[in-house]
Amino acid sequence: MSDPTTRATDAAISLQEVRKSFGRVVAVGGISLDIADGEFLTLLGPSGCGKTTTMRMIAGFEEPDEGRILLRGRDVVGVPPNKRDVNMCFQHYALFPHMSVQENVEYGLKLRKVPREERRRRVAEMLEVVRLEGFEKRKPAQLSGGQQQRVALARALVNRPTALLLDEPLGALDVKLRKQMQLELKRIQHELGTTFVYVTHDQEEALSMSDRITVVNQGLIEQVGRPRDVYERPATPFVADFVGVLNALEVRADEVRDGRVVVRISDRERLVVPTGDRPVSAGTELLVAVRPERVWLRAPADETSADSRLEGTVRQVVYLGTLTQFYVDTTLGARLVVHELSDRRASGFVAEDRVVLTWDAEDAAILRVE
Amino acid sequence: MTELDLSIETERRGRPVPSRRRRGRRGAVTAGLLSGPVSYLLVFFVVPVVMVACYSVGLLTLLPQDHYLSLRAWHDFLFGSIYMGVFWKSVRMSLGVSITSVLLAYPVAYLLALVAGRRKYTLLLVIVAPFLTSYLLRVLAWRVILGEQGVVNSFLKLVGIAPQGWLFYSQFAVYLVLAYVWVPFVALPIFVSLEALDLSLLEASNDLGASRWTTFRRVTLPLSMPGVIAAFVFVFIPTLGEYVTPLLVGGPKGFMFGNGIQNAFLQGFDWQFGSAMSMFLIGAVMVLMAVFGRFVSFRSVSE
Repeated sequence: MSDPTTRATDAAISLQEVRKSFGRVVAVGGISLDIADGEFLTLLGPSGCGKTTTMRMIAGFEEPDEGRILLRGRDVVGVPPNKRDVNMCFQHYALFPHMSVQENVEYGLKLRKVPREERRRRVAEMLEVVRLEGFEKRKPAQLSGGQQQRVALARALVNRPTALLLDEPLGALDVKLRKQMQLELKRIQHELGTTFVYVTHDQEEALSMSDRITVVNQGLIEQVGRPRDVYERPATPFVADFVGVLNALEVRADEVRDGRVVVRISDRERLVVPTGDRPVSAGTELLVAVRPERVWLRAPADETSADSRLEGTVRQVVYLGTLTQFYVDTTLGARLVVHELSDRRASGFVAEDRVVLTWDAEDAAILRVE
Repeated sequence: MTELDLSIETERRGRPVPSRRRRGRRGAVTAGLLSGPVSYLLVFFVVPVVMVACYSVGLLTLLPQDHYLSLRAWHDFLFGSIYMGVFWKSVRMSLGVSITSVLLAYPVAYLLALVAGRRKYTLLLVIVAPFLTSYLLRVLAWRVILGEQGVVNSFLKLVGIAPQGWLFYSQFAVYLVLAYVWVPFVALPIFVSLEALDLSLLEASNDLGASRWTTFRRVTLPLSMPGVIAAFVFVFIPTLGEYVTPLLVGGPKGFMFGNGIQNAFLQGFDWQFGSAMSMFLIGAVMVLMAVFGRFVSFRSVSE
């Protein structure tokens, strides 16, 4: 969507070489990132990867050891949270238990000395946006988890911040409610046009909501890109593994032709992978990835025109509802996971069946060149 | 109908169905376990209180020949004695002591709960350490500090200032010593309520634009109020009946209601009058407990 180096000035939030350590533990090891106005950006990574610390530095709860944090071009390092024009949605909502919904939501406005009439109007407006009209007088304890989540959103958004920071906001909700709130969050963000910075370890959440995903690992950015790019063209083995199920094959390139690497395994089996912009020549050791849902399962006798063809034996079949998952041991030795829709065209293979795995060259990617 | 019953039985099979007899036995066990404390309270609390009540209306008397039902002591106490004045003075002093103790204990509890970090339990131990010494000793120690020949006055004499009489056998001394005795004690309920505070609430307040002071005023303090009220009650009620401390450091100026009761029994030998005073105090405390109790539970419900 945007190249980090070109949008340094008009970005809503700009992180420049931000570092943070706690004692000897490096939490954030040098992150540079520009977040555009109105963007929904997700920081995705495993727990302890530094994503929450990064967010807390934007909010002002932690100060970076090095680097700059710009909010609309203003360096805010050293500015306390109450003087920063961003608001945060906490993991467990952090609603004030002794205040009603109305009082919770108008808390920020009151502190900014917004006149009473305007306060009422803006709170009512915001409660309408989060669909909680009529709940003004309730205490947080009288609300369900999903409703508390909405109050937390309203309480932050009513202040019209430059950016809303969300720290795993849906983590405490059950699966069904979480899906519903994902759509709601997206709708609210669309309606208000506020910049959302969203922290999660849930790749599905990240993929379904974000304009861009920043995959963070061990305090460093692994990849920044649109969900589709991150999923289909992971830049590193970590990204491939963390975002989705990783099928990785270690192979040696036999031939490079027309931007494609060809690996010949036997006279009936071969892999074809686009080189991307990797420096590959014949003889290079490669790590190749292919997504489980891009692989077709066929009977050995079937004719196919697919670029890649690999034989194997089904070891295990796991029925997941919409999908059926096959674990296949290939002649290369690696075990591949294959997803197949559980519809009428389902192949019906069972454990110990001999199968052929096929996929198109574009559906595979090189993760690493040795 | 029979079949239905059968099916229910089948469903329950495998799980012990509590029979009536077993339920009865369980009831007996509960009663057996409770009988100890209940009879203890009955013998050493309820019976004496009832006896005191009987003394106050003349149903029981010190000298057997005097006994007849009479509200004389109650009438004299409520309308004709200086002791109602002493009672109100005690209420005022208890209020003062409670408020002072809570005000002094709050920062201590705050420090422990929110600032001390990992050392808080060690510090807590240090704070409750005075409890290892007898209450009486701690009060007596203050005589050594505040008395006419005490540490403070000796020092003042040394630097050429006249000894200060108001330091000892005064209301001031009672306030000082009681507050000293109570502070570590009342810091505990406040500590508990502050420790239960979700720190992300403070961050949320800060994030929404509140300074640290505003956050304290609007979030921390209101949410620790149950602890503050509990602490207040903890001090107020025992102080209202206090008599050892006023006796040892208060002198005539620090005379409290408890001393009045003691006087009636031990100097005036008027058990009827003393009992009426005692019953009045018990009643007053119960009314106050009911009032505070409602206030405290109302607060916790509203959260």
